Amino acid sequence: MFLKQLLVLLFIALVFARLTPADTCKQTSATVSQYVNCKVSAMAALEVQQTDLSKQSEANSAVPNSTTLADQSSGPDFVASSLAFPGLASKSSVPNSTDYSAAVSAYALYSLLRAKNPFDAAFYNDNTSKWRRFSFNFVDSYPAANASTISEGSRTYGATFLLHGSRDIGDLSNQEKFADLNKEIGAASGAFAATYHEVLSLLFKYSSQKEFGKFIDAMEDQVFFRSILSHLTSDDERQIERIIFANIESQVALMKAINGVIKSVKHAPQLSTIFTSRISKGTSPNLYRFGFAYDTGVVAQLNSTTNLSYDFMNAQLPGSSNRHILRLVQQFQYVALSTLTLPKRNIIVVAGSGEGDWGSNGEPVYKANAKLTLSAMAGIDFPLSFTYTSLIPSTGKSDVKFQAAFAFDVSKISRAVAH
Amino acid sequence: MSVALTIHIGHGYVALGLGDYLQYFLTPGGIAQGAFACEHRRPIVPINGAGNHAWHLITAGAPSPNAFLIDQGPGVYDAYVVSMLFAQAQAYKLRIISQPANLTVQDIDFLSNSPTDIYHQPLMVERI
Repeated sequence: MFLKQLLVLLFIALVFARLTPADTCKQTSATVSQYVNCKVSAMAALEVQQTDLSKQSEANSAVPNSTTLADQSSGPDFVASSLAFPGLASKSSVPNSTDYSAAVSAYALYSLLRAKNPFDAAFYNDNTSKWRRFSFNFVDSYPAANASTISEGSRTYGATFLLHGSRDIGDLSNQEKFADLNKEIGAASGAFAATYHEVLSLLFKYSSQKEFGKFIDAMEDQVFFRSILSHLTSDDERQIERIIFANIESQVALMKAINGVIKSVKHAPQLSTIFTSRISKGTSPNLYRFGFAYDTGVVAQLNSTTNLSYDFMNAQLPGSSNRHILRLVQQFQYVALSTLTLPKRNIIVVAGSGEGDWGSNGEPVYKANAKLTLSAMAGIDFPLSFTYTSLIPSTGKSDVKFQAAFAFDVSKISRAVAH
Repeated sequence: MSVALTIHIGHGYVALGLGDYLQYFLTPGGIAQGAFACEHRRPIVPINGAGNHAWHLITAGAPSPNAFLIDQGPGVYDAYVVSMLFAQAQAYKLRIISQPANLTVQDIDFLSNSPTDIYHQPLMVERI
Protein backbone atom coordinates (compact mmCIF):
# COMPACT_ATOMS: atom_id res chain seq x y z
CA MET A 1 0.00 0.00 0.00
CA PHE A 2 2.77 2.37 1.02
CA LEU A 3 4.71 1.53 -2.13
CA LYS A 4 1.65 2.26 -4.27
CA GLN A 5 1.30 5.64 -2.59
CA LEU A 6 4.92 6.39 -3.33
CA LEU A 7 4.50 5.37 -6.96
CA VAL A 8 1.50 7.71 -7.17
CA LEU A 9 3.75 10.40 -5.71
CA LEU A 10 6.33 9.57 -8.34
CA PHE A 11 3.75 10.01 -11.06
CA ILE A 12 2.61 13.34 -9.61
CA ALA A 13 6.24 14.38 -9.45
CA LEU A 14 6.68 13.69 -13.15
CA VAL A 15 3.56 15.73 -13.90
CA PHE A 16 4.82 18.55 -11.70
CA ALA A 17 8.27 18.32 -13.16
CA ARG A 18 7.45 20.11 -16.38
CA LEU A 19 8.60 23.49 -15.12
CA THR A 20 12.13 24.08 -14.01
CA PRO A 21 14.19 27.19 -13.32
CA ALA A 22 15.80 26.91 -16.76
CA ASP A 23 12.39 27.06 -18.40
CA THR A 24 10.77 29.81 -16.37
CA CYS A 25 13.20 32.59 -17.34
CA LYS A 26 11.09 33.70 -20.29
CA GLN A 27 8.04 34.02 -18.09
CA THR A 28 9.63 35.62 -15.07
CA SER A 29 12.08 38.08 -16.61
CA ALA A 30 10.94 41.59 -17.42
CA THR A 31 14.16 42.78 -19.05
CA VAL A 32 17.02 41.30 -21.01
CA SER A 33 19.49 41.72 -18.12
CA GLN A 34 17.13 39.79 -15.82
CA TYR A 35 16.66 37.16 -18.55
CA VAL A 36 20.40 36.59 -19.04
CA ASN A 37 20.92 36.52 -15.26
CA CYS A 38 18.12 33.98 -14.89
CA LYS A 39 19.46 31.72 -17.67
CA VAL A 40 23.07 31.88 -16.46
CA SER A 41 22.06 31.18 -12.87
CA ALA A 42 19.69 28.34 -13.82
CA MET A 43 22.24 26.64 -16.10
CA ALA A 44 25.04 26.90 -13.53
CA ALA A 45 22.73 25.64 -10.76
CA LEU A 46 21.64 22.76 -12.99
CA GLU A 47 25.23 21.62 -13.34
CA VAL A 48 25.86 21.81 -9.59
CA GLN A 49 22.67 19.89 -8.78
CA GLN A 50 23.05 17.26 -11.50
CA THR A 51 26.58 16.27 -10.48
CA ASP A 52 26.16 16.09 -6.68
CA LEU A 53 27.49 12.73 -5.44
CA SER A 54 26.02 12.91 -1.93
CA LYS A 55 22.42 12.18 -2.96
CA GLN A 56 21.31 8.56 -2.87
CA SER A 57 18.87 7.04 -5.36
CA GLU A 58 19.78 3.36 -4.87
CA ALA A 59 18.09 1.05 -2.36
CA ASN A 60 19.66 1.46 1.07
CA SER A 61 22.42 -0.79 2.34
CA ALA A 62 20.19 -2.83 4.67
CA VAL A 63 18.46 -4.48 1.71
CA PRO A 64 19.94 -7.97 1.18
CA ASN A 65 20.82 -7.35 -2.48
CA SER A 66 21.56 -3.65 -2.32
CA THR A 67 24.12 -2.37 -4.80
CA THR A 68 25.78 -0.27 -2.11
CA LEU A 69 27.50 -0.93 1.20
CA ALA A 70 27.44 2.73 2.23
CA ASP A 71 24.44 5.01 2.57
CA GLN A 72 24.91 8.62 1.45
CA SER A 73 24.29 11.46 3.86
CA SER A 74 21.32 12.83 1.92
CA GLY A 75 18.37 11.50 0.01
CA PRO A 76 16.93 12.91 -3.19
CA ASP A 77 15.77 16.52 -3.48
CA PHE A 78 12.35 15.19 -4.31
CA VAL A 79 11.70 11.52 -5.17
CA ALA A 80 13.97 8.65 -6.20
CA SER A 81 13.32 5.03 -6.99
CA SER A 82 15.25 1.91 -7.92
CA LEU A 83 14.54 -1.55 -9.28
CA ALA A 84 16.66 -4.68 -8.98
CA PHE A 85 15.68 -7.93 -10.64
CA PRO A 86 17.00 -11.47 -10.09
CA GLY A 87 18.02 -11.53 -13.75
CA LEU A 88 20.39 -8.68 -13.05
CA ALA A 89 22.31 -10.68 -10.43
CA SER A 90 24.73 -13.55 -10.42
CA LYS A 91 23.96 -16.78 -8.60
CA SER A 92 25.57 -17.01 -5.20
CA SER A 93 24.83 -18.16 -1.67
CA VAL A 94 22.94 -14.88 -1.12
CA PRO A 95 19.54 -15.58 -2.69
CA ASN A 96 18.47 -13.30 -5.51
CA SER A 97 15.43 -11.12 -5.12
CA THR A 98 13.35 -8.49 -6.81
CA ASP A 99 13.69 -5.20 -4.94
CA TYR A 100 11.56 -2.12 -5.47
CA SER A 101 12.70 0.95 -3.62
CA ALA A 102 11.33 4.46 -3.30
CA ALA A 103 12.71 7.44 -1.44
CA VAL A 104 10.93 10.70 -0.88
CA SER A 105 12.10 13.88 0.79
CA ALA A 106 10.04 15.85 3.28
CA TYR A 107 10.34 18.68 0.74
CA ALA A 108 8.27 16.62 -1.72
CA LEU A 109 5.50 16.22 0.83
CA TYR A 110 5.76 19.87 1.83
CA SER A 111 5.48 21.07 -1.79
CA LEU A 112 2.47 18.83 -2.35
CA LEU A 113 0.90 20.16 0.85
CA ARG A 114 1.49 23.71 -0.31
CA ALA A 115 0.38 22.82 -3.88
CA LYS A 116 3.63 24.30 -5.20
CA ASN A 117 5.85 23.21 -8.05
CA PRO A 118 8.89 21.80 -6.20
CA PHE A 119 11.19 22.82 -9.06
CA ASP A 120 10.09 26.44 -9.10
CA ALA A 121 13.23 28.41 -8.27
CA ALA A 122 11.42 30.87 -6.03
CA PHE A 123 9.84 28.09 -3.95
CA TYR A 124 13.03 26.00 -3.98
CA ASN A 125 14.98 28.92 -2.53
CA ASP A 126 12.23 30.17 -0.21
CA ASN A 127 13.77 28.86 3.00
CA THR A 128 12.71 25.32 2.07
CA SER A 129 16.13 23.66 2.28
CA LYS A 130 15.35 22.37 5.79
CA TRP A 131 12.65 20.16 4.25
CA ARG A 132 15.28 18.58 1.96
CA ARG A 133 17.29 17.47 4.99
CA PHE A 134 14.78 14.76 5.87
CA SER A 135 13.98 11.84 3.62
CA PHE A 136 12.19 8.52 3.95
CA ASN A 137 12.79 5.37 2.01
CA PHE A 138 11.03 2.09 1.58
CA VAL A 139 12.09 -1.14 -0.10
CA ASP A 140 9.91 -4.16 -0.83
CA SER A 141 11.92 -7.28 -1.50
CA TYR A 142 10.56 -10.49 -3.06
CA PRO A 143 12.61 -13.68 -3.21
CA ALA A 144 13.36 -15.14 -6.62
CA ALA A 145 12.72 -18.68 -5.36
CA ASN A 146 10.12 -19.72 -2.82
CA ALA A 147 12.57 -22.03 -1.12
CA SER A 148 15.12 -19.29 -0.61
CA THR A 149 16.58 -18.71 2.80
CA ILE A 150 15.26 -15.16 2.91
CA SER A 151 11.92 -16.83 3.28
CA GLU A 152 9.09 -14.59 2.12
CA GLY A 153 11.29 -11.56 1.46
CA SER A 154 11.34 -8.42 3.52
CA ARG A 155 10.21 -4.83 3.80
CA THR A 156 12.76 -2.18 4.68
CA TYR A 157 11.85 1.21 6.10
CA GLY A 158 14.39 3.95 6.51
CA ALA A 159 14.79 7.60 7.37
CA THR A 160 17.73 9.95 6.90
CA PHE A 161 18.14 13.25 8.61
CA LEU A 162 20.94 15.56 7.57
CA LEU A 163 22.44 17.26 10.62
CA HIS A 164 24.06 20.66 10.20
CA GLY A 165 26.26 23.14 11.99
CA SER A 166 24.93 26.33 13.45
CA ARG A 167 27.68 28.82 12.56
CA ASP A 168 26.72 32.31 11.53
CA ILE A 169 27.90 33.27 8.02
CA GLY A 170 28.60 36.79 9.27
CA ASP A 171 31.00 35.51 11.91
CA LEU A 172 34.43 37.16 11.67
CA SER A 173 36.15 33.78 11.64
CA ASN A 174 34.47 33.07 8.29
CA GLN A 175 35.43 36.30 6.54
CA GLU A 176 38.61 34.82 5.05
CA LYS A 177 36.58 32.12 3.36
CA PHE A 178 34.46 34.76 1.65
CA ALA A 179 37.53 36.79 0.67
CA ASP A 180 38.76 33.74 -1.23
CA LEU A 181 35.80 34.16 -3.60
CA ASN A 182 37.11 37.45 -5.03
CA LYS A 183 39.03 35.85 -7.90
CA GLU A 184 36.00 33.81 -8.98
CA ILE A 185 33.68 36.82 -8.74
CA GLY A 186 35.89 38.89 -11.03
CA ALA A 187 36.10 36.15 -13.65
CA ALA A 188 32.35 35.47 -13.52
CA SER A 189 31.53 39.17 -13.72
CA GLY A 190 33.64 39.66 -16.85
CA ALA A 191 32.28 36.47 -18.43
CA PHE A 192 28.75 37.72 -17.80
CA ALA A 193 29.59 40.99 -19.56
CA ALA A 194 30.72 39.01 -22.61
CA THR A 195 27.63 36.76 -22.48
CA TYR A 196 25.28 39.74 -22.20
CA HIS A 197 26.91 41.42 -25.21
CA GLU A 198 26.77 38.27 -27.35
CA VAL A 199 23.12 37.53 -26.48
CA LEU A 200 22.13 41.09 -27.34
CA SER A 201 24.00 40.85 -30.64
CA LEU A 202 22.08 37.64 -31.44
CA LEU A 203 18.69 39.19 -30.61
CA PHE A 204 19.42 42.39 -32.53
CA LYS A 205 18.30 40.74 -35.79
CA TYR A 206 14.68 40.88 -34.60
CA SER A 207 14.81 44.57 -33.74
CA SER A 208 12.95 47.23 -35.66
CA GLN A 209 15.31 49.65 -33.91
CA LYS A 210 18.43 49.65 -36.10
CA GLU A 211 20.75 51.48 -33.71
CA PHE A 212 22.39 48.94 -31.43
CA GLY A 213 22.63 51.31 -28.45
CA LYS A 214 18.96 52.28 -28.62
CA PHE A 215 18.04 48.62 -29.09
CA ILE A 216 19.92 47.70 -25.90
CA ASP A 217 18.20 50.48 -24.00
CA ALA A 218 14.82 49.35 -25.32
CA MET A 219 15.56 45.78 -24.21
CA GLU A 220 15.31 46.99 -20.62
CA ASP A 221 11.69 47.90 -21.36
CA GLN A 222 9.34 45.01 -20.62
CA VAL A 223 7.03 45.48 -23.61
CA PHE A 224 9.85 45.73 -26.14
CA PHE A 225 11.74 42.85 -24.52
CA ARG A 226 8.63 40.63 -24.69
CA SER A 227 8.08 41.48 -28.35
CA ILE A 228 11.66 40.43 -29.15
CA LEU A 229 11.27 37.25 -27.08
CA SER A 230 8.14 36.34 -29.03
CA HIS A 231 10.34 35.97 -32.14
CA LEU A 232 12.69 33.49 -30.50
CA THR A 233 12.87 30.14 -32.24
CA SER A 234 14.10 26.97 -30.59
CA ASP A 235 17.30 27.38 -32.64
CA ASP A 236 17.75 30.84 -31.14
CA GLU A 237 17.28 29.45 -27.64
CA ARG A 238 19.85 26.77 -28.34
CA GLN A 239 22.21 29.44 -29.70
CA ILE A 240 21.69 31.50 -26.50
CA GLU A 241 22.45 28.41 -24.44
CA ARG A 242 25.58 27.79 -26.50
CA ILE A 243 26.69 31.37 -25.82
CA ILE A 244 26.05 30.95 -22.10
CA PHE A 245 27.70 27.54 -22.08
CA ALA A 246 30.84 28.94 -23.73
CA ASN A 247 31.14 31.38 -20.82
CA ILE A 248 29.67 29.17 -18.09
CA GLU A 249 32.89 27.83 -16.59
CA SER A 250 33.56 30.87 -14.42
CA GLN A 251 29.88 31.08 -13.39
CA VAL A 252 29.92 27.44 -12.32
CA ALA A 253 33.23 27.95 -10.53
CA LEU A 254 31.77 30.94 -8.70
CA MET A 255 28.55 29.13 -7.84
CA LYS A 256 30.48 26.09 -6.63
CA ALA A 257 32.81 28.34 -4.65
CA ILE A 258 29.87 30.14 -3.06
CA ASN A 259 28.13 26.85 -2.36
CA GLY A 260 31.41 25.51 -0.99
CA VAL A 261 31.86 28.45 1.33
CA ILE A 262 28.24 28.44 2.40
CA LYS A 263 28.40 24.70 2.97
CA SER A 264 31.68 24.89 4.84
CA VAL A 265 30.28 27.60 7.06
CA LYS A 266 26.75 26.38 7.56
CA HIS A 267 26.73 22.65 6.81
CA ALA A 268 30.11 21.16 7.49
CA PRO A 269 30.57 18.38 8.33
CA GLN A 270 27.72 16.82 6.33
CA LEU A 271 26.60 14.38 8.93
CA SER A 272 23.35 12.44 8.93
CA THR A 273 21.60 10.14 11.28
CA ILE A 274 20.15 7.06 9.67
CA PHE A 275 17.51 4.71 10.98
CA THR A 276 16.59 1.57 9.08
CA SER A 277 14.46 -1.41 9.95
CA ARG A 278 14.27 -4.48 7.74
CA ILE A 279 11.27 -6.58 8.67
CA SER A 280 11.18 -10.12 7.38
CA LYS A 281 7.96 -11.34 5.82
CA GLY A 282 8.86 -14.80 7.09
CA THR A 283 11.19 -16.12 9.75
CA SER A 284 14.49 -14.50 8.84
CA PRO A 285 15.96 -12.19 11.50
CA ASN A 286 14.71 -8.63 11.54
CA LEU A 287 17.36 -5.93 11.31
CA TYR A 288 17.24 -2.60 13.14
CA ARG A 289 20.02 -0.18 12.26
CA PHE A 290 20.83 3.15 13.83
CA GLY A 291 23.88 5.10 12.81
CA PHE A 292 25.56 7.99 11.15
CA ALA A 293 26.59 8.78 7.57
CA TYR A 294 29.29 11.31 6.84
CA ASP A 295 29.99 12.68 3.35
CA THR A 296 32.88 14.88 2.41
CA GLY A 297 34.67 15.87 -0.77
CA VAL A 298 38.28 14.73 -0.76
CA VAL A 299 39.44 16.45 -3.93
CA ALA A 300 37.51 17.86 -6.88
CA GLN A 301 36.02 14.63 -8.28
CA LEU A 302 36.52 12.33 -5.30
CA ASN A 303 33.90 11.92 -2.59
CA SER A 304 34.25 10.04 0.67
CA THR A 305 31.36 8.45 2.57
CA THR A 306 31.66 6.89 6.00
CA ASN A 307 28.94 4.96 7.83
CA LEU A 308 29.10 3.98 11.48
CA SER A 309 26.14 2.10 12.86
CA TYR A 310 24.77 -0.21 15.50
CA ASP A 311 22.78 -3.14 14.10
CA PHE A 312 20.41 -5.25 16.14
CA MET A 313 19.55 -8.57 14.48
CA ASN A 314 16.39 -9.84 16.10
CA ALA A 315 16.11 -13.63 15.66
CA GLN A 316 12.67 -14.94 14.75
CA LEU A 317 13.22 -18.69 15.25
CA PRO A 318 13.38 -20.53 18.58
CA GLY A 319 16.96 -21.48 19.38
CA SER A 320 18.41 -18.67 17.30
CA SER A 321 20.31 -15.86 18.99
CA ASN A 322 19.96 -12.13 18.65
CA ARG A 323 23.05 -10.30 17.46
CA HIS A 324 24.46 -6.88 18.38
CA ILE A 325 26.74 -5.59 15.65
CA LEU A 326 29.03 -2.63 15.27
CA ARG A 327 29.29 -1.79 11.57
CA LEU A 328 31.82 0.48 9.87
CA VAL A 329 31.81 1.26 6.14
CA GLN A 330 34.15 3.44 4.12
CA GLN A 331 33.43 4.30 0.50
CA PHE A 332 35.19 6.46 -2.08
CA GLN A 333 33.44 7.62 -5.25
CA TYR A 334 35.26 9.06 -8.22
CA VAL A 335 33.69 10.75 -11.25
CA ALA A 336 35.57 9.10 -14.09
CA LEU A 337 33.64 10.71 -16.93
CA SER A 338 31.15 13.54 -17.19
CA THR A 339 29.54 15.27 -20.16
CA LEU A 340 31.20 18.16 -21.89
CA THR A 341 27.95 19.31 -23.44
CA LEU A 342 24.60 20.41 -22.08
CA PRO A 343 22.99 19.30 -19.86
CA LYS A 344 26.02 18.64 -17.64
CA ARG A 345 25.92 15.30 -15.79
CA ASN A 346 28.10 12.44 -14.59
CA ILE A 347 28.37 9.55 -17.06
CA ILE A 348 30.63 7.10 -15.23
CA VAL A 349 31.21 7.03 -11.48
CA VAL A 350 33.58 4.47 -9.98
CA ALA A 351 33.26 3.52 -6.32
CA GLY A 352 35.18 1.27 -3.98
CA SER A 353 34.16 0.45 -0.44
CA GLY A 354 34.94 -1.79 2.50
CA GLU A 355 32.82 -2.89 5.44
CA GLY A 356 33.55 -4.51 8.77
CA ASP A 357 30.84 -6.04 10.99
CA TRP A 358 31.85 -7.02 14.51
CA GLY A 359 29.22 -8.44 16.79
CA SER A 360 28.04 -10.89 19.40
CA ASN A 361 27.15 -14.53 18.64
CA GLY A 362 29.13 -14.75 15.44
CA GLU A 363 32.40 -14.25 13.64
CA PRO A 364 33.30 -10.83 12.22
CA VAL A 365 32.19 -10.31 8.64
CA TYR A 366 34.17 -8.24 6.16
CA LYS A 367 32.93 -7.02 2.79
CA ALA A 368 34.53 -5.34 -0.18
CA ASN A 369 32.58 -3.73 -2.97
CA ALA A 370 33.51 -2.35 -6.36
CA LYS A 371 30.86 -0.45 -8.23
CA LEU A 372 30.56 1.12 -11.64
CA THR A 373 27.61 3.47 -12.07
CA LEU A 374 26.67 4.22 -15.66
CA SER A 375 24.26 7.02 -16.40
CA ALA A 376 21.88 6.50 -19.32
CA MET A 377 20.65 10.07 -18.98
CA ALA A 378 20.47 12.59 -16.16
CA GLY A 379 18.76 10.92 -13.19
CA ILE A 380 18.71 7.42 -14.72
CA ASP A 381 21.60 5.34 -13.44
CA PHE A 382 22.63 1.74 -13.86
CA PRO A 383 24.83 0.67 -10.94
CA LEU A 384 26.87 -2.50 -11.51
CA SER A 385 28.06 -3.84 -8.19
CA PHE A 386 30.51 -6.63 -7.27
CA THR A 387 30.55 -7.58 -3.60
CA TYR A 388 32.88 -9.97 -1.79
CA THR A 389 31.66 -11.16 1.62
CA SER A 390 34.12 -13.01 3.86
CA LEU A 391 31.47 -15.06 5.62
CA ILE A 392 27.81 -15.88 5.00
CA PRO A 393 26.59 -17.09 8.42
CA SER A 394 24.00 -19.51 6.98
CA THR A 395 26.59 -21.33 4.84
CA GLY A 396 29.79 -20.66 6.75
CA LYS A 397 31.48 -19.74 3.44
CA SER A 398 32.61 -16.65 1.65
CA ASP A 399 30.64 -15.26 -1.27
CA VAL A 400 31.06 -13.17 -4.40
CA LYS A 401 28.02 -11.60 -5.95
CA PHE A 402 27.26 -9.39 -8.92
CA GLN A 403 24.15 -7.23 -8.72
CA ALA A 404 22.84 -4.57 -11.07
CA ALA A 405 19.87 -2.26 -10.70
CA PHE A 406 18.10 0.69 -12.26
CA ALA A 407 18.01 3.89 -10.20
CA PHE A 408 15.92 6.95 -10.94
CA ASP A 409 16.13 10.44 -9.43
CA VAL A 410 13.00 12.36 -10.44
CA SER A 411 14.39 15.81 -9.73
CA LYS A 412 17.42 15.23 -11.95
CA ILE A 413 15.27 13.72 -14.72
CA SER A 414 12.78 16.57 -14.64
CA ARG A 415 15.48 19.24 -14.73
CA ALA A 416 17.14 17.56 -17.71
CA VAL A 417 13.91 16.88 -19.60
CA ALA A 418 12.61 20.41 -19.12
CA HIS A 419 15.97 21.81 -20.08
CA MET B 1 17.49 32.73 -8.82
CA SER B 2 15.47 34.52 -6.19
CA VAL B 3 16.80 38.08 -6.47
CA ALA B 4 13.94 40.59 -6.52
CA LEU B 5 14.54 43.86 -8.35
CA THR B 6 12.83 47.19 -7.84
CA ILE B 7 13.78 49.30 -10.84
CA HIS B 8 13.31 53.03 -10.34
CA ILE B 9 15.37 53.89 -13.41
CA GLY B 10 16.85 51.15 -15.57
CA HIS B 11 18.56 52.14 -18.79
CA GLY B 12 20.58 49.45 -20.51
CA TYR B 13 22.84 51.70 -22.54
CA VAL B 14 24.69 54.96 -22.12
CA ALA B 15 26.82 56.96 -24.55
CA LEU B 16 29.75 58.91 -23.14
CA GLY B 17 31.49 61.76 -24.91
CA LEU B 18 35.11 62.55 -24.24
CA GLY B 19 35.32 63.98 -20.72
CA ASP B 20 32.01 62.46 -19.62
CA TYR B 21 32.07 59.98 -16.78
CA LEU B 22 29.81 57.64 -14.80
CA GLN B 23 29.44 57.77 -11.02
CA TYR B 24 28.66 54.42 -9.38
CA PHE B 25 27.15 54.22 -5.89
CA LEU B 26 26.56 50.83 -4.29
CA THR B 27 24.90 50.64 -0.89
CA PRO B 28 24.66 47.17 0.69
CA GLY B 29 22.23 46.01 3.34
CA GLY B 30 24.92 44.02 5.12
CA ILE B 31 28.47 43.29 4.02
CA ALA B 32 28.99 43.93 0.31
CA GLN B 33 30.84 41.40 -1.80
CA GLY B 34 31.11 41.56 -5.54
CA ALA B 35 33.02 43.05 -8.41
CA PHE B 36 32.98 45.71 -11.09
CA ALA B 37 34.14 44.26 -14.40
CA CYS B 38 33.91 44.62 -18.15
CA GLU B 39 34.37 42.18 -21.00
CA HIS B 40 38.14 42.59 -21.00
CA ARG B 41 39.04 43.33 -17.37
CA ARG B 42 37.90 40.63 -14.97
CA PRO B 43 37.57 42.40 -12.58
CA ILE B 44 38.29 46.10 -12.83
CA VAL B 45 37.92 46.27 -9.07
CA PRO B 46 36.65 43.89 -6.37
CA ILE B 47 33.97 45.14 -4.00
CA ASN B 48 34.30 44.11 -0.37
CA GLY B 49 33.14 45.32 3.01
CA ALA B 50 30.32 47.01 4.86
CA GLY B 51 29.35 50.63 4.18
CA ASN B 52 28.86 52.51 0.92
CA HIS B 53 31.03 51.92 -2.14
CA ALA B 54 31.58 54.56 -4.82
CA TRP B 55 33.74 54.75 -7.95
CA HIS B 56 33.93 56.49 -11.32
CA LEU B 57 34.21 55.22 -14.88
CA ILE B 58 36.01 57.98 -16.75
CA THR B 59 36.71 58.69 -20.42
CA ALA B 60 39.63 61.04 -19.91
CA GLY B 61 42.19 61.95 -17.28
CA ALA B 62 44.36 59.89 -15.02
CA PRO B 63 42.97 56.78 -13.35
CA SER B 64 43.08 56.50 -9.57
CA PRO B 65 42.06 53.85 -6.99
CA ASN B 66 38.43 55.00 -7.39
CA ALA B 67 38.46 56.15 -11.02
CA PHE B 68 38.84 53.69 -13.87
CA LEU B 69 39.51 54.63 -17.43
CA ILE B 70 37.16 53.25 -20.08
CA ASP B 71 39.16 50.82 -22.21
CA GLN B 72 37.42 51.05 -25.59
CA GLY B 73 37.73 53.74 -28.19
CA PRO B 74 34.91 55.62 -29.96
CA GLY B 75 32.14 53.57 -31.53
CA VAL B 76 32.89 50.35 -29.63
CA TYR B 77 30.32 48.86 -27.28
CA ASP B 78 31.58 47.37 -24.01
CA ALA B 79 29.41 45.80 -21.29
CA TYR B 80 30.25 46.90 -17.75
CA VAL B 81 28.86 44.73 -14.99
CA VAL B 82 28.36 45.19 -11.26
CA SER B 83 28.21 41.73 -9.69
CA MET B 84 26.69 41.29 -6.26
CA LEU B 85 26.77 38.30 -3.89
CA PHE B 86 24.08 37.88 -1.28
CA ALA B 87 26.02 35.65 1.09
CA GLN B 88 26.56 38.42 3.61
CA ALA B 89 24.15 41.10 2.36
CA GLN B 90 20.42 40.70 1.86
CA ALA B 91 20.00 43.84 -0.22
CA TYR B 92 21.85 46.32 -2.43
CA LYS B 93 21.00 49.69 -3.89
CA LEU B 94 22.84 50.61 -7.10
CA ARG B 95 22.82 54.10 -8.60
CA ILE B 96 24.72 55.04 -11.75
CA ILE B 97 24.77 58.71 -12.74
CA SER B 98 26.10 60.12 -15.99
CA GLN B 99 28.11 63.29 -15.49
CA PRO B 100 28.36 66.16 -16.16
CA ALA B 101 24.76 65.90 -17.45
CA ASN B 102 23.74 64.61 -13.98
CA LEU B 103 21.37 62.04 -15.53
CA THR B 104 20.53 58.92 -13.57
CA VAL B 105 21.16 55.91 -15.81
CA GLN B 106 20.26 53.21 -13.30
CA ASP B 107 18.63 53.31 -9.86
CA ILE B 108 17.82 49.77 -8.80
CA ASP B 109 17.18 47.97 -5.51
CA PHE B 110 18.11 44.27 -5.25
CA LEU B 111 16.77 41.97 -2.56
CA SER B 112 17.45 38.28 -1.92
CA ASN B 113 16.80 35.86 0.93
CA SER B 114 19.19 33.20 -0.39
CA PRO B 115 22.86 33.41 0.62
CA THR B 116 23.90 31.53 -2.52
CA ASP B 117 22.41 34.11 -4.90
CA ILE B 118 24.51 36.14 -7.31
CA TYR B 119 23.29 38.98 -9.52
CA HIS B 120 25.13 40.62 -12.39
CA GLN B 121 23.81 44.07 -13.32
CA PRO B 122 25.04 45.11 -16.77
CA LEU B 123 25.25 48.46 -18.53
CA MET B 124 26.36 48.76 -22.13
CA VAL B 125 28.70 51.71 -22.54
CA GLU B 126 29.73 53.33 -25.83
CA ARG B 127 32.38 56.01 -26.16
CA ILE B 128 31.19 58.47 -28.78
